[in-house]
Amino acid sequence: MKRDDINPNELLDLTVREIQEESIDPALMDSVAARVWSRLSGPAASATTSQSFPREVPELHAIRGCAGFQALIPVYVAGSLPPARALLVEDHLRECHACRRSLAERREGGRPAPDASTALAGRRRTPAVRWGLAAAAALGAILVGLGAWQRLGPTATPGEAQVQWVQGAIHRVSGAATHPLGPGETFAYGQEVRTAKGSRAAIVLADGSRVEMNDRSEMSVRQGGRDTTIDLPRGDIIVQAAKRTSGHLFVQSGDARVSVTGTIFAVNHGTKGSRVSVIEGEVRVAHSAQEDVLRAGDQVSTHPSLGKVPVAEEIAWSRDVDRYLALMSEMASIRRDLEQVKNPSLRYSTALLDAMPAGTVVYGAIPNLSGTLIEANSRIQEHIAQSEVLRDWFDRSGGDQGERALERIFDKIRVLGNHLGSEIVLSVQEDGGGDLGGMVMMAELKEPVEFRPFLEAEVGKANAESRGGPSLRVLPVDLHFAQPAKGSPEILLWVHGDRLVAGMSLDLIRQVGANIDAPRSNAFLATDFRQRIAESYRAGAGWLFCADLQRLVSQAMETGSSPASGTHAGALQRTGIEDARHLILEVKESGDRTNARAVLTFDEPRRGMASWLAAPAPMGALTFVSPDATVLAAFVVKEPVLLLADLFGMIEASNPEFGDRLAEFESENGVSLRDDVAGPLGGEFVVALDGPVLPVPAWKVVFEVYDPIRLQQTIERVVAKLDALSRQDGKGRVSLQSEPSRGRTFHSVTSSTGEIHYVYVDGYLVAAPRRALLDRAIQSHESGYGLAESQTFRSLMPEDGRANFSAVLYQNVGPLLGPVAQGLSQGRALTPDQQSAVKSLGAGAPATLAYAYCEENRIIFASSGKGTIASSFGGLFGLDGGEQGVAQIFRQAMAHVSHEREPH
Amino acid sequence: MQAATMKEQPHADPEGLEKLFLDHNRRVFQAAYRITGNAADAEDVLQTVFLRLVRQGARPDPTSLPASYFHLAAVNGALDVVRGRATSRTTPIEDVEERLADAPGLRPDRRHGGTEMRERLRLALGRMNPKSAEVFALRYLEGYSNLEIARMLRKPQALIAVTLHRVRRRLRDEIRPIDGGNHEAR
Repeated sequence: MKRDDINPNELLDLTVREIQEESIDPALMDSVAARVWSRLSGPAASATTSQSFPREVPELHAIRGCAGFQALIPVYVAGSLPPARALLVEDHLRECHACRRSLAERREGGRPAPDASTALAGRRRTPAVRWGLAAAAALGAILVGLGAWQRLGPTATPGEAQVQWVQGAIHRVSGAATHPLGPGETFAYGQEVRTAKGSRAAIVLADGSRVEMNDRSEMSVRQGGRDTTIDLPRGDIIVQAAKRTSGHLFVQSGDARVSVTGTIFAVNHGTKGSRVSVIEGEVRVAHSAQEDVLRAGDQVSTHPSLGKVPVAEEIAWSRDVDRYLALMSEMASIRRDLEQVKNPSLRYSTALLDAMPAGTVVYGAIPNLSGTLIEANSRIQEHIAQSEVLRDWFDRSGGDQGERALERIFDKIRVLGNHLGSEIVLSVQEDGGGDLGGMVMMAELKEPVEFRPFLEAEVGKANAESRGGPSLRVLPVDLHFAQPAKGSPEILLWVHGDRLVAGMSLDLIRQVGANIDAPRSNAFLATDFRQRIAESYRAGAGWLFCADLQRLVSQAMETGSSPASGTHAGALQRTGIEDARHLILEVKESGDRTNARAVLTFDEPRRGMASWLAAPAPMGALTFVSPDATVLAAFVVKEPVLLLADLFGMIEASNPEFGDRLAEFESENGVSLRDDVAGPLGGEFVVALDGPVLPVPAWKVVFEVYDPIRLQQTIERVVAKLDALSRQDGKGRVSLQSEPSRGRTFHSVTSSTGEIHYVYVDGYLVAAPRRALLDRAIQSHESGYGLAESQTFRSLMPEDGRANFSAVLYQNVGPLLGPVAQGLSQGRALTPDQQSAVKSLGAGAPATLAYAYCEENRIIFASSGKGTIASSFGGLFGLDGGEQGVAQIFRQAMAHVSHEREPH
Repeated sequence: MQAATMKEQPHADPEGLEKLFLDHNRRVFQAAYRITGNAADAEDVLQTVFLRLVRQGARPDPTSLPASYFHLAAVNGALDVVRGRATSRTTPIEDVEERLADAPGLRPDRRHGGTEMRERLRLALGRMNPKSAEVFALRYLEGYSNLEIARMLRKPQALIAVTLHRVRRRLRDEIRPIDGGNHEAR
């Protein structure tokens, strides 16, 4: 049969078989072995004998570190080192700057002409050296092969970068001199390298990151603490940042600073500015006083004239362009695929709620996420298995370890998740004496008969591996035969019908058992709390946490009603929290967003502290805050005068002398807090951090003022009083200056401790520590481009049909923490761990928005952020502790509860 | 695992190395030969594998380095060689002469479909993703089972199976003669 005719599979098998069957002459193998061994051991060895190679026997002494190599340098320079040894020395010299210096010193002493040494090196190209070069080339080839490169790790030593390959020429530039660099050669951090016209090169940094340089590019590398910075005065580079456990990799082009921790991106820095394109992962680009977060496929330019070009075009010069493009397309495909993974559907009813014990005051329900997580994992694995580029990327990202931990976790989730129903619920009981009593967890079982042996086996394993903490015990089907609890805390697990019940109290488990068998006799069914929870289910439940505040608060009030704590309870009554009925926290996923919502309901219209926040209303004060603000709290309150009255009432309830003291204070200072301070104010308040945090935090306070003249008079009186007091204490003057400027009057209060500047603008008072901040606030206000208009802020707005908020809390501290951490580390106020914690917090902190809507008898708190529950799975379960498994997590949760309780 | 063992033993032991060399040189050479298809390259690989042991200043404990370590090292070293061959555009004239002398299949008088196929398969392996090529070589040229490879590479067995399936498909397409003639590697 002709080869062309056979089936391709058979052809492959045939070819493989032929390769397997290729015979090699044993004599050839012997001669090869003898040759190689002789080269490895060197001719010096020939004096002794060996069982296999009579004339070529090893005389290998260990070369111990740099000292060992440096000891060999004189012999090497003299040319009398055996070829194999010379090869090792040359190999090491390529990597080690210190040893190269020793060599240079030795040569300068012995052989002044550097050309002579080059000639020597040329002469020494004996067959052994040729073999050595072949070995070095093989090593180089390994470095080029990405997978192997990762396995061997970076070859550049700390403080040095190594040229991996060159196409054309790359030079080290120092002053007027240039020095060509070849593959394998290194250059120290701080030294500048430049690629020639039409040349390209790849550089490996000491941290394993790889930089590919296009022609006419210039860069240098520097290390500061745990951070590595690539300075790119001009040119075009593609960086494959190595994964790092601490610090960041930065690329600093003239007008942009890119920070990353393990990703692939391109920076093109030209005369007009810089353009950053991301191929894989996420990078932050700080430029033109703003910071952008870019993800795969995104691009940003520092100057509008630079425009945008397709990322594919931007990296078209790279040797690895095919791989990068494939990677980008695979990543996009994974993202699209993951978006299709269905979240657990909302639950509109539950069979578990009605089995809860009558004393339930806290109820929680979480969906069985195993299906979603396993589906997401299998889709990712599928992509990785099918794509070579992804496999490469996964391996480079330290895939092995993570993969093993994930596999273990997913195995457990798969098995356990398959047994359990759609949700797991938890209830905490109040024991009738005002204390939180036991806790019960319950889930439905799909296959109760198969589950029991599985549970027993898992419990056995978990108990064997347990180090401290309560032990697990599976109760018999008939609880009459259950042994009473032993002295040490135990988590009891009971399979009853198609339910799994877990708890620490046998009595509670019995109670739940009775409720399962005869639900109608359960007193819990008649409670308001149960009705409210059922309502949440009817509207669709995701994650649910409900607290019966009515019972919890009344218990707290009763506990606090002893004569000694009577005043405390009085103050509590004034807060209005006494009327609180239920707190319902819900987390639901819709699309790629996770919406969290908490509803606090009251029996009666809100009063006291609970009524301070007003119904949702427009917030004009927000226009004074710039889009760069990092932290903001804004709220509308009911009448400030009433608020003050509530506050004074609360203080008076716990301290009856307060009223007299207040009157005394007011008459002494000639200021009525109610009429002169609260009276002129409107209902809007904004506090923001709007600018750099160092050296003086750029705080900003804005509030609505209905009567600026009266408020100004109050301020003048207060400043005069403070001035008198300050001078009396010898602390210098406190003065108020007013300066008209551009149709407004800018005021400033100056004291020995600092300055406060403020100005009245369109019915608002704006205060800040510096005049420049006031100018900026006015600019934001007048241009109409404030925080509320910024893209980051707007992207976080909820889609719920409401136009206004009662309160807003916003943070975007990511850009802020970098300089803070740097400032603190310079002052050595933080330990390295703390610095890295602060930095990583900043690096991974997306902006968030929380808000409140207040209605007559309820307050709704909510927050929104990107990402789904499945995506935060790693953090939720702690991948590092993957081996602990679900049983251990449960155990820890129970241990925490048992710790809270008094031991019986 | 092997690398860790050697790191823990930072000093060379000539006798240990010799023992290792005696025990494994044929294994390494043969494995490298199967992949590179010529004795000169296989000799290179053999030297590289042992040179690395010496360079790492290790004192190899013969019992701590199993045959699979040498198989793996040989396979990777040899794949590096064929990879270089697959990507290099220029080859020194002396190497060409050596290869011609060493690879009879390329000589007109001994041109034979099988030899050409073997060479084509080797070149295709060189163009392949290193990990995939490694898995293929271990499975089909060195005869390890999927389970053994999974253990050696610390990967899930299912992944090895999927990788093999994909590599086979790609190799099958790459070595298939087009119009019965020899086609150039891309």
